[in-house]
Amino acid sequence: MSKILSVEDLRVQYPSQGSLINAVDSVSFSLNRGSSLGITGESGSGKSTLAHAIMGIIPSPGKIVEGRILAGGEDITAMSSTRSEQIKGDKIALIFQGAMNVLNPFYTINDQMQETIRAHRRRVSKSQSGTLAEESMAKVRLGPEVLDRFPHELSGGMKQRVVIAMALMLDPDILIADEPTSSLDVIVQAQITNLLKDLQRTLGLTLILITHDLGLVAELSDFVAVMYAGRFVEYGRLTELYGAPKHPYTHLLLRSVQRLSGPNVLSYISGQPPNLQSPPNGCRFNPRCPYVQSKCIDEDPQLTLFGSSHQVACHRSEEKIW
Amino acid sequence: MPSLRGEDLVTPHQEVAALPIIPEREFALRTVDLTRYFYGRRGLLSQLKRPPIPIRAVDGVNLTIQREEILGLVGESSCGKSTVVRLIAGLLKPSGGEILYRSGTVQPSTTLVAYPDSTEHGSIEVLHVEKLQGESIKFYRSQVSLIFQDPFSSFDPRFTVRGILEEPLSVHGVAEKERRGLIEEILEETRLTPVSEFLDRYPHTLSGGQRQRLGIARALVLDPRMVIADEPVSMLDVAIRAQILELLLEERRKRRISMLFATHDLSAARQICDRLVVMYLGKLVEEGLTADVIQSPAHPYTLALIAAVPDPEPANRSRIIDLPIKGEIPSALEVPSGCRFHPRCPYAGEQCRVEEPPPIKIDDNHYSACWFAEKVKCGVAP
Repeated sequence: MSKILSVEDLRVQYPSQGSLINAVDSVSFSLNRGSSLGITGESGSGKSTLAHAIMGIIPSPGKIVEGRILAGGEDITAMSSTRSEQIKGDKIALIFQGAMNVLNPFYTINDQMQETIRAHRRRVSKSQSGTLAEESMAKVRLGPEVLDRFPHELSGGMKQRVVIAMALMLDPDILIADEPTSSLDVIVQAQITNLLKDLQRTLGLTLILITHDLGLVAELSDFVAVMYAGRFVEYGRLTELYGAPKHPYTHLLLRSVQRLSGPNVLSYISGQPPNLQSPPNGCRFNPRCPYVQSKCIDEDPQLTLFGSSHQVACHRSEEKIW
Repeated sequence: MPSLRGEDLVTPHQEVAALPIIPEREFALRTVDLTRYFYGRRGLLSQLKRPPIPIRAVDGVNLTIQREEILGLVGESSCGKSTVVRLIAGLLKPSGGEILYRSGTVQPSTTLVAYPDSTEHGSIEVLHVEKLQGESIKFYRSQVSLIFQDPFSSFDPRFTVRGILEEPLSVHGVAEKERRGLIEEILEETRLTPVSEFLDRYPHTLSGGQRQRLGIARALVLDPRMVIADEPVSMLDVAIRAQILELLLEERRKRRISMLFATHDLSAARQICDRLVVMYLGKLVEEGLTADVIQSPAHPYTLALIAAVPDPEPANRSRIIDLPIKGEIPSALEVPSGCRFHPRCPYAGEQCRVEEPPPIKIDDNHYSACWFAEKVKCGVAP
């Protein structure tokens, strides 16, 4: 399988109160066509910033200070902005968190879809763009009549479908979805989850899913990356990472999820994520880690490969203590 | 949801769902046929043309919060649970029905001695929350407090932690020299420690979890008898949610308070609620002990809610979630005829379209407003 996207040693920096913070720090991964990666972690762990970096929309004064992002073999961080805009609009689409709430209330769904097409495909005729919009709506199981409606006439679930239709309209190679189900009701969440699953199967969609919801990750991802304080602390196949987490953070995070079955235990991670202005010495998770040893405070653990794809940044990952 | 009409208050027997540890009639709060309608703003002409159509946000809710229990009020957005919360909190007047609060032993020390609206109901002294006014509202608010969903917007950003906790104390006439001790005590209890470090901080310098603990501290500082928590963990990170749930459980144990826990999240409710009521489009559809409702749901809506909860199981990668529910929630402007769930229900038959099901008792303490309750509970396919 071909690599459709590679991120190499990416570092995104923001100036904050006189110092520089690394919101994304030495992150590397690659993605094959048709597969999906779930990136998860607590709020502030850098998962949305990573998505924005791939799209080249890091708000100033933040910037990519290190690393490369290769899409279709080309480094999109190094090319001119017009060229990279083209690639990103065409090849990579992003569904922003809460995008369904920022549809323009003054325009019909059709107007807003046409705007997207015109911005990227100047030579498309009106009838062609109309077909494109209708086809896209069909992909998300909405009828063409929805095109003539205004956002306030649609339910939350329908708006989210419209947003997904817009992202799919230009037939992107990669779809990045930032919290595609948050702020929806549970049943609608499950319906949207099913839609994304269906799109993965029927269109062979390559998906990067950004979410704090470990249940959603399990539904939609082949690979999982767990972020903590700007870094990947564990990366691997869904089955190995969920089945036998090698990082205590992953283990504790999975245990913190409230479930409807199994033993009813209250489990949580004490403390809070570090302030990135002054991250702790050694392992960044050490102040919250119940398995901390002196080595964890002295030495920053590097991501280490186990087997063919499982990577972990923990000094004690092989001790089987959790 | 059991038929808790006025007369049942005098002779409530097996009909009333009761936790084994709590003797019957020991209710802390009870609503009787509680309704609240809203009317949209309309022009004069359309007002003359036809009578206004109400939005039936709460449409006949009978629920009982027992002493020292945590009752989970579960439902999706727009089901009316927030309206129920606001009605019970006394922030909104009902369109109909009653809210009875059992005041219990009242310390006669305060100025709050006369309660003009309280009535004798059998041998129990109850407050009619819907009729409260003036001093008695103040008394009710000292007894029943609120924890809000959003710990980021429910504090005045210009107040320090001390100021936030002092305000309810001064409003309710606690002497100035006592306040400091109470504030320090509650901070200690909610583990915002070391206390001296937190007293002069502003809410924006606190983390989400700390803010929500401050919200709990504010709700408890007057030592209330009941706490109403509206989605208290839904804005928090997964990693710290259980901390807040644990704190709520601990306070219930220590202070022996009753609690209404309104949430859309069944799995959070499972962790701390003794009993659950499930709400759909303004009405309760199921009521029972938490384990019963989750393990053997007897209403098709509860069944769908449970099916929709995502579980972090890698095996789920290969499934399409089987959702036994059709379409989307209708508007409360046009509540369907008969059973209000019937247009979305895979079990629906002719009777469901015509006749609204009453709460049907299917087990001790377990009620479902569904004509097919027994079938649903036994897992018989539609």
